[in-house]
Amino acid sequence: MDLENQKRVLDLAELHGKENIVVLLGGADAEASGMIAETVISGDPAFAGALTGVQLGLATYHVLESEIKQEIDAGLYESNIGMMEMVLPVEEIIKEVSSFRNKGP
Amino acid sequence: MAERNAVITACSYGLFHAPYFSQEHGTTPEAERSANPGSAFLTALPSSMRSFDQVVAYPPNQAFIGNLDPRTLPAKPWHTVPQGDAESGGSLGRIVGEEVLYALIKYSDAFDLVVISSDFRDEALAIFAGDEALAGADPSRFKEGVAAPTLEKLVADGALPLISGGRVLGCVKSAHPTDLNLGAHTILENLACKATGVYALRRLLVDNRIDPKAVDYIIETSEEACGDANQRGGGNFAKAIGELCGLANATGCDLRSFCAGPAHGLVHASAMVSAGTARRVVVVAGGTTAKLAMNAKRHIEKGFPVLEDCMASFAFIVDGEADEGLLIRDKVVGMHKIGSGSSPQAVIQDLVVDPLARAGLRLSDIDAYAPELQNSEITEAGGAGNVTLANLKMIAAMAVMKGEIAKTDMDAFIAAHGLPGWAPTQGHIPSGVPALGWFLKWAREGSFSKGLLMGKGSLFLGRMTGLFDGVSVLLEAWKREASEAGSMGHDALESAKIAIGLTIPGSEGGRAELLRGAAEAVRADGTLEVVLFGDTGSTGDDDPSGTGLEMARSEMEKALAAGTIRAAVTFHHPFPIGVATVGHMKAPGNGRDLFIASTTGASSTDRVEALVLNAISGLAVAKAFGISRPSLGLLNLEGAPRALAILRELCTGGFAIDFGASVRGAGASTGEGESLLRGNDILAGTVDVLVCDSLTGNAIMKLLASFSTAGRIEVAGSGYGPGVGPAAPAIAIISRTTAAPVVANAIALMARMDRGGLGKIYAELRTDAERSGLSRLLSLKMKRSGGGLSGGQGPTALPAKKPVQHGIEGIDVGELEEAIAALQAEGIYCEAGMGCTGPVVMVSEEDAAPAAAYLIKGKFIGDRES
Repeated sequence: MDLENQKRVLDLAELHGKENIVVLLGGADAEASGMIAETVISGDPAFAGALTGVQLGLATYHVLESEIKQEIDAGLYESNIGMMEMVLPVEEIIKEVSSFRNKGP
Repeated sequence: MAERNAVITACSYGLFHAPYFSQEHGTTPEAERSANPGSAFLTALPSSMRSFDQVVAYPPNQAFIGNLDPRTLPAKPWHTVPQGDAESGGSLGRIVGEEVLYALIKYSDAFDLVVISSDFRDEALAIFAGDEALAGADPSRFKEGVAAPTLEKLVADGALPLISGGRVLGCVKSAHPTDLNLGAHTILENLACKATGVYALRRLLVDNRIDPKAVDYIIETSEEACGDANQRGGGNFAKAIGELCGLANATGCDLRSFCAGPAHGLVHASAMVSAGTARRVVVVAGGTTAKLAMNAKRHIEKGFPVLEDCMASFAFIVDGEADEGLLIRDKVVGMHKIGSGSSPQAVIQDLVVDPLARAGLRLSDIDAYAPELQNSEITEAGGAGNVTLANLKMIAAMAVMKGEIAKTDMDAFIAAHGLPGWAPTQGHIPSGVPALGWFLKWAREGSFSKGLLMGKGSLFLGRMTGLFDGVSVLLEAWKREASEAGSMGHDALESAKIAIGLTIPGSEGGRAELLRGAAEAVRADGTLEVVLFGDTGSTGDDDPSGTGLEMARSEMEKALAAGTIRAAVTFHHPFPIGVATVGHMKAPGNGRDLFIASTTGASSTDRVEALVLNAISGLAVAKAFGISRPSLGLLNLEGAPRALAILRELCTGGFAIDFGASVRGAGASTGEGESLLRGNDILAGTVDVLVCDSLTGNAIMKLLASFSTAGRIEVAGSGYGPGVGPAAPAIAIISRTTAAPVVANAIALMARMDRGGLGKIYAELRTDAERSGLSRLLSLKMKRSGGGLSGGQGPTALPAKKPVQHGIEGIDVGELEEAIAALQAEGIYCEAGMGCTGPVVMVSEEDAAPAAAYLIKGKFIGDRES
């Protein structure tokens, strides 16, 4: 995960409290999405950024997951994400992101 | 000046094998050298470079220069399947070696910044003499070479060497002691860009026998910037390249938008040619040294050779005087707008869905999509996936969302309409443009009709905006048709003469008035010939019995059928139901051309259906007139809101309509949206096409045409216009009280309709409308209203068909179908028709009296005797 973004996430978690933050992912790729989920949940696996050794355990979802989809107006979702929902490997992405979420920090 | 067609007639692509630059000046090895000087990657780099022969035999490179159809590329990995009989020259370009690149760099140097060895000077001169694209170049640019020690000294002082096969052939010096923008590194990068651009342009000119002096403008679209500390990207590569290609009559400039630059260049070139600013524009771009070996680390890790070992360049010409080629449909350019957002869906909406909808096309009407055409072997191994395929998947997903295809058909859609990527990953080079040459080839072979070229750019890399960029252009296989020769200057005028018929009997203004109009039409347009019908030479005007007009009309119809006249103007014609006329007038408020659809006839006996069909007829006439994207509005009449709703649904289905807005403002008091027009819009000229029913349109025409004579005679406009509808004859209607200027205008209008291809345009629009759901929408409406033409009385035996010549007038349009059915039930054969004054029931002469009596009895018409 981008080092600058790790720093931002850490700052936000400290400012607002980690229980008040949801991380919403929009990546096109399962592996990369999983890596970001892992970073903001149990720390940077590459041991490079601000989240190295920091287990924030943030609630992390991909925008393609049903928990998020049901929160968004159906028409708006369709007009912004409907196309990519057809193109991306949705199940793989959900499997990858939810596995880190379920595992916890 | 008339608008010109902007047509791509030739393309050229260059590949420049650059193994030394790849290792030395690619940003990836450069960065590695400063961070990890002794790394395994740097150690493996030299032995991972390909030979020139391997570069030539690499299948995607053969596709780039036109030798291997990209649709027939073998299965990957491509670097393991060298093409056996590969040539370095192809129908679309050429692959050249490192020495040629260095010779070109020296040739491109205008400030003695490139110094070459004496040996290489002789080699460079031989290279130039042996390459037909360079043979005419000025050899004096190769000044005396220097000896090896001098080169060594220059390199030791900071000049960057030009090395090939271990030999130092020359070097590039810094152009300023302190300004980094003129430092040796930047100068080398810019000269390499210029040099590769020069070669592509010279090849374009030589291979396609284009006179360099006939080019008016150059647009350069690479990703480099030349300038000094005070103007880092001052430019101008375009003129620098043109200067070395003999483009003495051209000027030009550089245009940048990251990888989307070339596609923008295409749009600009097309617009300049269409507008008449330039007759011929070349778009050119050199290659980049920075992107060489960009993914080499991953390639070497995977056991691949360094596949990014060539600089690439292209040039193509947009010609306004071409007879064939790829027509750039610059009115349907897709543009990623600032406000659209950068989500992939928004980008595809802007670049694919919107422009195609405006052109009245479905996504599946495009033969080939050319999005980012990066060589997928390079990007997949580099970790960026298959960029071309990702784009095609998004387009296919959009086709699913639009309901054109099923989700399960996405792969089939991609296979049928997609192309694989084959272009070297030189940023701007893969951005759609490599497909131009192939589109042109396929068009000339007759296997290609329409392609969509898309360029995309990652603007955020420049740190000035987080935005993305993209532009797309629709390209069509095109040949100049004989009928278009009229716009090609006087030589072609004779062959493009158009004969228009005019019937004489029956004018209330008299024969002389008609003849004056005919003479005026011919005076105004020497390509017109007016053929008179029913002219007895009598100075009297009249035709009280109407028999003269009938005879004239019959002669005129024969001439139309025989093709001796292309179109005709007459007072009256019994168009069948389905055909209505579209009148033409200059809007009093702004002088713009206003088309009133319709003014006589009936496109349908159902009011709402008629309004919808009138809209299509009006668009057809406006387009044939030369308005490429006419705006349209419905006059706020009974049935108009329903018709508007149907038209909007047609748009949703893909039928392109630009709705205009009332001068009264959006939804002024009607609450029905902006496209219901009010009476003042008629005068204001708010829209190009004003849709109304025939009787209203007829009243509007008469009012506007005779306003200045207080209703006495019609002196303004072009009359009631051509009949438009399925298989409508090319006949236009004028009133019996028409003055000469309107007669002249009506004749000119019909010539313009013929040249503009009204019949073809109408048929295409009807087909488009059908594809967008016209019949379904109209039948849905019928079901809802429970009315319609087929009343559902079941089949009855119809009387035998016979010729009908007699028209019974005075019937209400709403009762026409019922009257026809009643007469048929009575055993009288009849047909519905539309006269100038309203609907008519057409019967045979022998049935005229009994039919009229029956209709009076049934209260369909009044009793005129009483």
